[in-house]
Amino acid sequence: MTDYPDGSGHQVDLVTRAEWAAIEATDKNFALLASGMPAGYGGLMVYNVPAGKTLYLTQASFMSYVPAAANAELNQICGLVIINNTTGAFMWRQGGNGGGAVVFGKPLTINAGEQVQFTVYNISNHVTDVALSVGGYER
Amino acid sequence: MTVRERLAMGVFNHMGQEKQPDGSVVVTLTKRGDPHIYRMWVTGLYTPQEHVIREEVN
Repeated sequence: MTDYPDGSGHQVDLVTRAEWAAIEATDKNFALLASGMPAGYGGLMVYNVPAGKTLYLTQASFMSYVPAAANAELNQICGLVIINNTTGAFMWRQGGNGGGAVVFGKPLTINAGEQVQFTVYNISNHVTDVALSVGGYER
Repeated sequence: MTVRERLAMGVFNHMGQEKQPDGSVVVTLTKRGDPHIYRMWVTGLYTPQEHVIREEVN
């Protein structure tokens, strides 16, 4: 960064794109829908963090709902798991009836070149649709 | 830049994935300030057997 006068008595920074990329973070959101999941099944998605970046996850939510109206009043038990596939670390596990949500007090961190996996699965005794949304930023 | 390259470089704000009946996954990427929607149909994403069936930009 270089300081430049702005003509109004202040100093401003001029940065290169590479410098700015290191300063600015890119919001990230990951969403998954898996329809018609039998008991014990679910959907998963993976993401490889690009070289030179770090992914910070700040919140996660998940839900389970039934396509058949007759099952709407049953328990829709489901679970969310976040795993770092590269290190093998189970970063987050959460269950809920109908779903759940969490805001991470300290963001979950996945480093450059590592793979993170988000899984939401149906733990009820009937077919449901499951979905997840995990958000954060990357820089 | 292909959709697959966008995913590899993280050039997106939102990624959605939805499994298709044929076993493939449709990956949707959007980015703030970019009016386009980038989609690709892929099997075995991030595995040695990965195969991008097709890409679509709307």
